[in-house]
Amino acid sequence: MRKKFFKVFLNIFIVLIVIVWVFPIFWIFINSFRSSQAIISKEITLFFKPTFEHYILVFTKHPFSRYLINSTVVAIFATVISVLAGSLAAYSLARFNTGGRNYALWIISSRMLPPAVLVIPFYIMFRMLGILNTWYVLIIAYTTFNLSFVVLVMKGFFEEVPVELEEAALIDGASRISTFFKITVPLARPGIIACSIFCLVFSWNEFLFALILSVSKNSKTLPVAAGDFITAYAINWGPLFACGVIILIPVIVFTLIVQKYIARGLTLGALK
Amino acid sequence: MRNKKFYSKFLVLKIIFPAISIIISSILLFLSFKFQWLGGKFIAIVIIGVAVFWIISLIWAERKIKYVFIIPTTVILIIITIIPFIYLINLSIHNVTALNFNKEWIFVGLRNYLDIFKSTEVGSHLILTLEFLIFAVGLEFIIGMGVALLLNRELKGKRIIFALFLIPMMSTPIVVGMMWKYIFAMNSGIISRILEIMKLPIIPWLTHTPLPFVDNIPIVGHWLVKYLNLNYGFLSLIITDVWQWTPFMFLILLAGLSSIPLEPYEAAEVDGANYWQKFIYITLPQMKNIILIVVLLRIMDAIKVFDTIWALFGNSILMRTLNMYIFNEGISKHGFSVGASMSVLVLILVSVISTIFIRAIYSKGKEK
Repeated sequence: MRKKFFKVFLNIFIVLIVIVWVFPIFWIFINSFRSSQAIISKEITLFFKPTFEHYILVFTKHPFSRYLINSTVVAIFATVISVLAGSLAAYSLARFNTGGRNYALWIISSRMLPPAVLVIPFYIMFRMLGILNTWYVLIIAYTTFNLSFVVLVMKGFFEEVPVELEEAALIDGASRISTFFKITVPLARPGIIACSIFCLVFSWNEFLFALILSVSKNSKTLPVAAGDFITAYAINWGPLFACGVIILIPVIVFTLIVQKYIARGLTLGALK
Repeated sequence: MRNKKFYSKFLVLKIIFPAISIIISSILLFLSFKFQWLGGKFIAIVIIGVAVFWIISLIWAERKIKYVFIIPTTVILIIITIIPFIYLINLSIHNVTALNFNKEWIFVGLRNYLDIFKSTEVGSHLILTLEFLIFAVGLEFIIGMGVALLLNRELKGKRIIFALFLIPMMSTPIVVGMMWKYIFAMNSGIISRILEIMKLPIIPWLTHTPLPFVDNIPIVGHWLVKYLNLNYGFLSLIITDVWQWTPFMFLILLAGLSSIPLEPYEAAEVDGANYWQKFIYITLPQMKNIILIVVLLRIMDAIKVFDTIWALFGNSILMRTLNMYIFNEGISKHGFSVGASMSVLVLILVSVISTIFIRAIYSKGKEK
């Protein structure tokens, strides 16, 4: 009897924890459909007539469609570059241990580099080159954290592909390159998909580089645009929530797609 | 013979390769800034040249494929780590501001670093940063471990709980910060509303009101509040970070927990060990490596934190970590050199912390 009571208590506890962790997201979704007065009023109502005014305002008064395109293009290019270069290097590291421990440490250390450290040299370099406020800057900046991530994770995935399959292909006369693209890559495809989605999400979420390196309308990304709604005098909650929801939806969708690989993806494959 | 081969390999890896990469990149940098080459066409020509060379070598190199495969990453890594680093050092020993940015840079040696060591402000930012690391990562570890132990069994709907837990970790930090700013708000925030309904005093989140239970400690209380930032603002920052990153700890710790073999537990049960003894003598030692890795990763991410603080407090001077300080001095005030010297110091801090952890992880591996 006592044990059963304990079990029920534990389950209630778990449900409570889950509610605490889910509630804020739910709250921002609900509030993005409330009117501006309702957001700052003292009443809490869960049932009300939803309005889409904030979403309409975000897309009509601010060039949000442009920001959406900026964010998407930058995220996709940064991901493609990192995944292409990174998985080739990861294969080389996994199969031949190229560069030994030093190279691996170089990659790990570039994963640990705080963006704040890179921001000043990047700002000065790109200002001298005159390419601030373009997509290129953000794509270069985002490879700093994406590339090392891809190398470390893909290394783990490639190590799990059996060498025998590749050797069989090599004996049959395939070249190293066609072996890689026809045998190894298809076998490591879940890893590549998970990695790409991680890189997309990381680039989509990035704020500091975007805040400093691109502030013009032509290259501003969504997180920076969201930050603009907090001014020194007042906070424009309604459009802010609408913007937050627009940013969060793709992230949540992608997260649910990769949830199987997430724990493996986030540990440094090399250290395991 | 074998010795000779070893030495040549050693030479290539440790001396020639880094030296060549540093020399080439600094020459390129020097030339390009001296003659303003990098404006537009030069970059395109270099990129296309490297790409063509690489594709040709991809087709031809059958034996040396490992080097060909690693070239793109190496080139990108040089561009994003070594060149900025040279630049950072160069900036930190000059005095560069927005005023003399396009003119001559004045050489000042180590004066920027000395200024940083002398200023009292930086000390408080360092304390805030370290404190944030300790409190946030510590709490995340404790809660994450607790939840992982709770969920490490057969459970209905485990997948749904998993999926729900993943969302905070992947959501955009700036949106998370704004969300919590609304939840913490004094008038319309849900916490204040619930407290009001329960007829409890409203808590002034996000302000610098000292925590009452610390402030009431005789003699040291006031000192603690003043120098260790024990106020509601700091508490709300910690809560936000814990909310966002505990799922990360939980996930990786759970993966570690489920990989522990069952035999030691069975043996301990035969010996009559209780739950705590099993946890301390079996679970923790088995998990040591994973704990070190996950704590290291979290510390590295917590040093990077910027977005959340920006969303919660703006550029408030009392809530400035070293990151915010670099941003404020280097970018907002255009004191590029001060920011650069601070960046070098942060880099040293990060490498010291990560070296300690990586040593610990690798030495554990060797014992096995």
